[in-house]
Amino acid sequence: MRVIKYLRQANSGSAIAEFLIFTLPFFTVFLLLITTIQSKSLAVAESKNLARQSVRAFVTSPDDQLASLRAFQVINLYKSTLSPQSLINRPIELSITCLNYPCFSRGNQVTATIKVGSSVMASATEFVDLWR
Amino acid sequence: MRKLLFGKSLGSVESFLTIMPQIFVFLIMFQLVFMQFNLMRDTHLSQGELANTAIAGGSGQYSRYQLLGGGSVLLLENRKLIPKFIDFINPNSRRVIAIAVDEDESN
Repeated sequence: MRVIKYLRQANSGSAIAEFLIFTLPFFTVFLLLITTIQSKSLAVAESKNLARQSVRAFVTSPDDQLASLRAFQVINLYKSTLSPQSLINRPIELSITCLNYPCFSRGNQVTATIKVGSSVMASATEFVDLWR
Repeated sequence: MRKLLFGKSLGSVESFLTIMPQIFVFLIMFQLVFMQFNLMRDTHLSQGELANTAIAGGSGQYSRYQLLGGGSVLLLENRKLIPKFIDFINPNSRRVIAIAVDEDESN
């Protein structure tokens, strides 16, 4: 009852102070949200594209030995354009998995998975040419 | 309506001092959203153009690197100026990177 009475009491307040109390945390959180969304969306776009390009390089290889090297070559070329700080903050990792082994066999399903940083992951799947 | 517009009202220096930094912070936020949108648009458009070049051929500002066993990788590294709402004199520059595998080097 005491609490209810206290809460129902009329107090004179300042509109400026209330406005400030509401907007400052709101704006701060919103600023953080914007920067987080930007970095996430860039990482997602980057990882999706890298996965597509690396799996394309893999399946178009002329032979089994060069397939993985080609995929990693694409990633290394992309990494060479990034700054050392960016490479430390958002390390890019490629892993290739296949439905059947050996990987580079006719009609086999190959999936390239790219991991950017600790949370963003994207994969792309293609098939090795049947008439190879 | 006219009465309201021409009516005199009292303000306070405190409210002005409070609202001015708030507006500044709000404009910075708005600018961040605008810059983010521009960067994402440029990234996607550059990637689309480069992928199109890798498939259909064409010329551009990209660099071509030979892939092991044939084919090549097209790499586009473009530094673009992004307009801003605040501080118009010094436009911010951002780097846009696009990459595409070209299977047919004769393109």
